[in-house]
This record gives sequence, C-alpha cells and structure tokens, in this order.
Amino acid sequence: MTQEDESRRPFERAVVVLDAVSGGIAALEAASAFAEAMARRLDVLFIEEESVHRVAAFPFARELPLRESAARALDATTIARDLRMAAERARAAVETAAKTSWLEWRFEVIRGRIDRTLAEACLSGTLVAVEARQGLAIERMLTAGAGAAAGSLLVVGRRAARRPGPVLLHCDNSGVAASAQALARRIARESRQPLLEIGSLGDFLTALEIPHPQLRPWRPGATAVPRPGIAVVGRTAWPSADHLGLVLGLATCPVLMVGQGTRQ
Amino acid sequence: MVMVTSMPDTPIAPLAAERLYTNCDLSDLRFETTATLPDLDHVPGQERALEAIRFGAHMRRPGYNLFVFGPPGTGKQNTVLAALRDKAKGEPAAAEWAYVHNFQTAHKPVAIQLPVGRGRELKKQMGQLVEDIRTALPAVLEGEEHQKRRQAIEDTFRERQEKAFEKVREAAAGRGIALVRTPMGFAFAPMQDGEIQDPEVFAKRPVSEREQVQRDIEELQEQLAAVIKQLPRWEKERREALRTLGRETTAVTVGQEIDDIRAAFSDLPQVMQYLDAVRADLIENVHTLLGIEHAREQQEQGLVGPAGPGGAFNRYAVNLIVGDGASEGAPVVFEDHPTLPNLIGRVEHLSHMGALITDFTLIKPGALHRANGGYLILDALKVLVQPMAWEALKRSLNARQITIESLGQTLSLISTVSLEPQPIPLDVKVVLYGEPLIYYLLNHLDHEFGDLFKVAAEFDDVMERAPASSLVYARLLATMARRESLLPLDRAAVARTIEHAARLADDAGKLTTRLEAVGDVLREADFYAREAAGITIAADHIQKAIDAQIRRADRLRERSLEFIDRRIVLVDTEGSAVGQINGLSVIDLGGFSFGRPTRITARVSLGGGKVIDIEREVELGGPIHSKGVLILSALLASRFGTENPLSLSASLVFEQSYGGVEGDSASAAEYFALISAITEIPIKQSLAVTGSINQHGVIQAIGGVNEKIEGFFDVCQRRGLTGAHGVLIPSANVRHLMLRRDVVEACRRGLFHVYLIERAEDGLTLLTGLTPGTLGSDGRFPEGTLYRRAADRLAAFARLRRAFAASSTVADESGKDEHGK
Repeated sequence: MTQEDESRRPFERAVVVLDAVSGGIAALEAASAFAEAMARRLDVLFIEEESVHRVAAFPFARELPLRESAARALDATTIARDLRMAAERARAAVETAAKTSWLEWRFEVIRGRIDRTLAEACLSGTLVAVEARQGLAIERMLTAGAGAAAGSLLVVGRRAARRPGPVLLHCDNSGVAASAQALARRIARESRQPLLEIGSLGDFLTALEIPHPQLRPWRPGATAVPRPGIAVVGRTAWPSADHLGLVLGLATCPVLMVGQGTRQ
Repeated sequence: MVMVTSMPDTPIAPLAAERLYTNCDLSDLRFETTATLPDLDHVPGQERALEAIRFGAHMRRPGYNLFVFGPPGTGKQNTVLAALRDKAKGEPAAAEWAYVHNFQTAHKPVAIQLPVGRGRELKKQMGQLVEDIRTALPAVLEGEEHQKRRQAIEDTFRERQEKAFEKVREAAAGRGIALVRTPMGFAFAPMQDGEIQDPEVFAKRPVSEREQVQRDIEELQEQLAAVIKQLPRWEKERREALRTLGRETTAVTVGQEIDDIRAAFSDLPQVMQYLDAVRADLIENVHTLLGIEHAREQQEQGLVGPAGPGGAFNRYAVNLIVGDGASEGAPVVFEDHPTLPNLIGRVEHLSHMGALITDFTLIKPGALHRANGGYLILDALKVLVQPMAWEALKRSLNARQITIESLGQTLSLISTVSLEPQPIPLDVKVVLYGEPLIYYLLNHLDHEFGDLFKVAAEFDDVMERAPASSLVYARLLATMARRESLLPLDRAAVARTIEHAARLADDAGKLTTRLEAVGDVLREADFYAREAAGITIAADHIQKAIDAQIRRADRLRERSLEFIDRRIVLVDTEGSAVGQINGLSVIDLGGFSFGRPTRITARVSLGGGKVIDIEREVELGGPIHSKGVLILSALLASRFGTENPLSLSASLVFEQSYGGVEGDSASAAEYFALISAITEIPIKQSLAVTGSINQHGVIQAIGGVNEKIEGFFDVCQRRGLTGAHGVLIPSANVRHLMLRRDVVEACRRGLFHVYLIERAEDGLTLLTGLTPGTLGSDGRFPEGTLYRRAADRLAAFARLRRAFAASSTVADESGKDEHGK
C-alpha cells in the first residue's frame, strides 16, 4: 500500500471489543478484514465484565455451567481463572488473525463494563467492532451516551454471516449521510461488489430480512434484493432504540453504523 | 614276435562327394523370386502342434488349458498368437468389468459386469454426475431458498433457547435477582437499581432478607438447571432438522441426475442396485463430502492435514478395469512379464504426507482380467521364476475366479488393513509355452499341472526335407521376408537357405523349424544385398551372411587351430603311432559350434583286466563318457576274455584335455586305440574317428558329425592335404552330412576322405590297413589277423599273471614258520 493510500484510510484504528461470554470471534474476523483495508491498526479490548466479578463476591454464589447440569460454587479465584483462560484464547485468536493479514495489533484486558468500554472506544477516526448478543443492550448504549460519539460501529448480529454480497447502503438525510455513502462506495470498490442504495428504512430492513410488523409486513422472500454482504447506515438514522435493537439482533449480515468522525 | 600279414580283401571306399552334401534341386523351385510366392499362414512341420492347439482352443471345458512346448526359436509364441487371434475374431467380445465403491463395507470394492461398451458409458455418466453435483449442489445449498429455510431452523431453535433463558431471567427479575452470564455458564445475584448489588451492601441487609434471597436463588437455579438440561436435546434436534433439510435439498438435486443414469442402465440389475446405493449415500453424505473437498483445498494451501486419495467424490467414480469399448472378438492377451501383480492385478497406493493410502480407484487389472473371456498366453519359465505367480495362476484357474492379493498378503507378511476387491469370475483359456524340459518337470513334480493343462502341443525343431517341402519352405521364407520388409530372395538364394536349414537341422533329410536362426540369416543377407544395391537377395548374400556369422563367432576356433598349428596342442596328421588315435569333439558356443581333433591314447600293462578311464578318475569325464568306456571294456572282454581272464591293465586318456569330456562319441576311437596298444600295431594319424560303439562292436551314430569332419579337415588343410587324410564316421550318420563346400570340393578332388564304418572291424581295417579277423569254429581268430595278435598278447598276459601269482605263493609259503605263520 502506498503512502497516499495509507493516508486516505477512513479510520486511524479498528477496535474490537471481546468478552468472555460471546468470545466475539465473528466480530474479530470482521474487524480484522476492516483493519486490513480501512484502518491502520487493530486494537483488541478484552473486557472482564465487572458484574461477573461482583457475583463471585457473594458467599452463596453458584454457577450453573452450560455443559453440566450440576451447579458449582463460584468464588473470585475460579472466576479469575476462567476469565484469564478466556482472555488467553481470545489473544491467540487475535494473533492468528493478525498474522494472516500482516496487521499491526494490540491486545488489552480491561476490567469494567462492556457498554462503557464501547462508548469510550467510539472516538473520532475509530471503527469499533462488537458482536451483538442477548443481554448486551448495544442499542441502548448507542441511543444513550455512545450515540453521540463520533466513531463508527460495526455490529455483527447473531444471525449475521460473513459472505460475499452487495454493499447495502441506507441513504438518509442525517449529517453522516455523505460519510456513509463514501465509505460504502469504497467498501464496494475494494470488495468488488455492487453497491445498493436504499432510501426507505422499511425497504432497507426488508433487504436485511428483518421482520418487523410496524415497519413493513414481513414476507419471506418478498424482496428481490440479493443477500447483502454488509449493510452501511448512519448512526443517527434510527427512530428508536427498539428498531436499532431489531436490526442489530436480526440482520443477516454485519451492520456498519457510520459516525461523524469518519474520514471521507 | 609274430608278424601280422593279413590284408583286407576289399578296401573300404571313401564316400563319393555327392553324398557329402545334399543340394537343393533348383527344379523344385519354380519361381524367379519369392516376391511372386503367396504367404504361408502356418509354420510348416508343426501340424501335430497346430492340431493340438486347435483342439485346446475349441475345448471349452475346465482344465483344457494348453502347454505348448518345443525347442527355442521354433515360433511357438507367434504361432499360438496367430492361431488364437484368428479364432478369437469370430468369438463374442468379452464382458467389461468395473470396480465401484462398496457403500456398506468400504474396504471391499464391488465388481460390476457390463456388456461391451457399457462400462465406458457408466464411467462417463458417473463422472458427469459428480461434476454436476460438485457445481450444482453448493449453489443450491448457498441459494436463497435453502439458506432461508436453514436460517428459519436456526432462528427457531435460537428463539426457543433464548425464550427459555428469558423466562428464567424474567422470573429472577421479578424477585429482584439478576441472571448473569459467566465465562462457563450462568449465575444469579441480587440486584439493586438494575445493577448487581454490592456484596458489602447485601451483607448489611437483614438476615431474613438475605435468607429469602438465597432461597429465591436456589429455586431459580433449579429452573435454570432444567433449561440447561434441555440444551443438548435441542441441539440434537437442531442438527437433525438441518440434516433433514440438507437431505431434502440434496434429494431433489441428486434424484434427477441419478434417474437419468438409471434410465440408461435399466437393463442391468447390478448397475441399478449400485445407483440406488449411490443415491442413498449422496443424500446422506454429500454435505460431508463437500466439506472434505473444502478441507482439501485448504490442505493444498497447507492449512489442514491429509485426506484420502483423489477427490472426496472419488467414491462415486467407476474404475473400469476391463473394457475399452472398442474390442472386436474375444481378447487374446500376451503377458511378457508375468509377475504376480501383472497376472492377477494389484492395488496401488499413493504416498500422501508420508502415509500410503489407497481406494478402489487404484485397483489395476492383471493379465487374467484383460484376457477374461478369451485367451492368455504366457511364457511358462517366466511365470515359474516370478514369486508366487505360478501359485496364483493355478489358484485362479482352480477357483475360476480372480482374487487380487498382494505378495505381502499372500505370504501374510503384512497385517495392515488393505482393500479386498470382490473376486471376479474367470473364464479364460491359458496357453503356456516353453521348453520341453519345463513341461516334463511340471508334469512330474506338480500334481495339479496335469489337471489344469490337459492339452500338450509339441513343436518340432525339424521338418521333413523333400522336393515338395522345398516349395513350402520357399513360401515360408517369402512370408518372413515380406513381414520384415526384406528384399525378396531369388531362387538360388532360397536353395542356399534351404541347404543351410538342413545344416542347422544337422540332417540332410530335414529342415530346421527354428525360424529365428533362419530369420537372422535372411536379415543379414538383406543387409548385404542392400549394401550392394541389389533388388533381390542372392545366394551370394546368403552365403556371405552365413560366413559372417561364423566369422563373428569363431575366435575360439581360430585360437584352437592356432594351438594345433604351433604344436602347443599335439595332433598328428601323418605317420602312424601305437595306442594313439585322433578323436573328434565338438565345442558348442551356444549359437555356434565347431569340431576339434583330440589325441586319445591308450596304454596297456599286466593287470587285473581293468580299463582305467583317466578322465573319470579325475572327475573330468561325464557319466555318458564313462558308460562308453565301460561298454568298450565289455566288448574287449567278450572278444578276448572267453578263454582266459583279461590280465591287462589299460588306461585311456584324452590328451591335453583340461575341461570336461562328455558323450560316448569317442568310444569307438578309444576301442581302436586300445586294440592298437594291445597289439602294438600302429594307427594311421592321417585319419580321425568319431562314433560310439556298442557291446557287439557295432558303430553307432553320433551328433555334430559335420562339425567334427570340418574340424579335422581344417587342421589337415592348414598342414597341407595329401590325399591320405580323412575321417571315419558311423554309417548311420551319412544322412546327416551337409559339409562345407571346401570340404566337399577337397573330397571330390581326392585330397580328403570320409569313410563310413558300420562295425569296429571296419575302422580297425582303415586305421591299421590290416584285417582284424573273425572268430573261427575253433574259437580262435585266424593266424596273422589283428585280433589273433591281440588274443595272443592277452593270452601271454594271462600266462605271465598266472606265473607271477604262482611265484608269489611260493615266496609266501617259504616265508612261513612251522605253524604256517
């Protein structure tokens, strides 16, 4: 990559937020791909959820492992060991991904709350990748404090699968519409995929195969749009946190929400 | 000393020159060149063998396989091949055979029999099926419809799982308790203001509240445990649902393809059965196979470990081991290298990441597979020298099926699991060919041989030489010349070749059928003819080729003659000597043999009647030679030992012979030398003798007569022919005479002679110039005869011996004391 290309990258860094629960491998893969093409560095934040530490502090705390039916006593030592193992696994995965892509990378373990970490990471010139999962109320975070942040957010939903496909852009009238469009065009060009620009939010959701009776009657296969590889939308385009929650939870492809601090 | 004066009444005349060489009569050859002669479609002189071959080929019963034997170079292989090809043309083409995957027991591939031409079609259609599935199925599986159905299944099961947890979460929230995800599972904790309560704050709550919270958590844990317990079952259901979806999608795609093939092979139940198995296996395993293919692509990029040979879809390939679809008539297969695998087939392996791997596509056919339904021609010796090949051939013929087993499996040297291809029914006529010795040994030593090879076809190495056969032989030469694109032979060349064929047969009345040797002469004569820009091969070219062959091979002969010339090897060709005679031997160098004179000497002394064969004493004499010496000893005893015991000790030796001596062709010469030694009558050294002698003194035929005569002639010629030189041969050998032209010419001019002798007395007469005499009614030989002299001398030996024995007894008696000791 030439110096000129390097300087024209839309992000200074890509941040992927991982935790011990979801693992976040899908987010890591998406972030690595973006970092390789759009950002200069990959930062990985592994969150040791504060609430987990706090649970272990109760004297009667017990854990029901998913692979066992019998509960076991939970204490600080056990939790610390399990979190350390999860972090080590995540680090190994990051190393492998970074080696494949020749990425400059950094791995950091943070004890705190994932929503706050996300909000803090969403700075101007940053792309933050995260895996949506049950219990992780990204939509609330985005529509609350982090919603005003300048960074862009790449959310890989539970139904999202990484596959080649057109770049789906929701064209709204928000302040980041131009940035979103520029970024979508660049992604389409680099991935050699067509760019599909959709003005209606309902059509946009239909293309993402998101059933929502309030927006549009759900009709499987009603849209003629091929399954997208990625959806691009401005962060402020959402009528409500519920809509956003639906999108993040049910979209069949990763959704890139472009913030104001994205270089065009 | 008694003088011997009896001379023979009628001297034995030498053979006329015309009897030394039987010319080919040109009037028997009514053509100008062989170009005008039609081809000969069989080898002449092999009628008996051809009849046996025809019978064996037509006899379609078990065990009626053929063994064709005869001397090398008689055209056994070509004759059999031609005869069988001719017969096979009119027979139906053999069935085709293919190996396919066994979907029940993978290491036992299934053999499928197909009519001619259908094997290739099945192979092609199955290849197309795989190609279609490889490309179409991933597209179908990645397609909108399938993906949506798959997504729906995933969503359904995820929702069910999430709802179950959500229900617990809500129940917990209703009691002010949070459900928290931990790295390994779930845990409950009291909440305050939507957050996990600080444990220290919790500790300050009243005991009753704390106890209530703990009870609530225990109840919730039970609810959660019930949900978690359901997870494996839900996961199993999810996988099964996805598998069912995959099967449904695959069945539609695969079904049509398979149905098309089924329609094309509906008349072949075995193929239909196989296609049903393919359909079931594809529907069940196609996703796994596609996954393996993907893994293989990664493996080729060094990302994952090894997989099997070929593609993952190789299991649907058709390994057509027999059937090119273009066969006309039954197969006739000649296997030149009949190793065990070349005979019964083999399972090959591929080296992959350091491991040897195989599958049914690596099954290779053997000669038995290719010849199945037809004929297989094998060199018996080659089969016998290949480890386990003979055993495998017999086993296959006995069992009437081909079972592919490696040498390691046969000998139980390997215990690793390998393929066990289904045996294929065998219906083949095996034709072995080889030398007679192999046939007789097998007959004698292998009790199964007679049952498996009931038909013997023996090739002769000679054919009768008659005016009619000359023309047949000429056609044979014409055929050989045409097949090898040689120039045609003119009439004289044919005649000279026929004469040479008689010489090769060692018989003026026979012609050799060792066509390889004749072919060599033709090829070389063609070379000389072309070199001289000739348009036909002339007699001179034939002669030049024969001479050149001899010239190339006769270094040893030249050296032998040189040694005699320089008197390093002592051979007298003039004068006479007592107890010394020129014997004749033949040195065989494989493709070339020559005769050589050898001095044989005999010495006698007083003794116990024993003839010592010095060659045998030092183990240089073979058993037949020893037999000859014993026979002449018996002849001597019968002639002269009827009244007195033979009281002589005689010794016989081949002078300057340092190699072995075998054969009895020198026994007559040895007898003559012995008589000379006994009688002290000298033998003419200008003559040489060959012939064996029996107990009645009859001279019997020997082999190599031409070479022997020529060998002595060469020595004499180099020293100068005087007219006294000649060779004595058994009269029975006259029909074998095909002497060199220079020898014949010398005989014609009276410079060299060939004498026929029938009895020992004929030879003695020629060698000594005296009459041996015949036994009179008084039991004595007439006075003045050779035998009378021998009898007298032997009687004198007997008297001397008796006298010696008596004086020895007196001496012994005088030496004894009064007690006789």
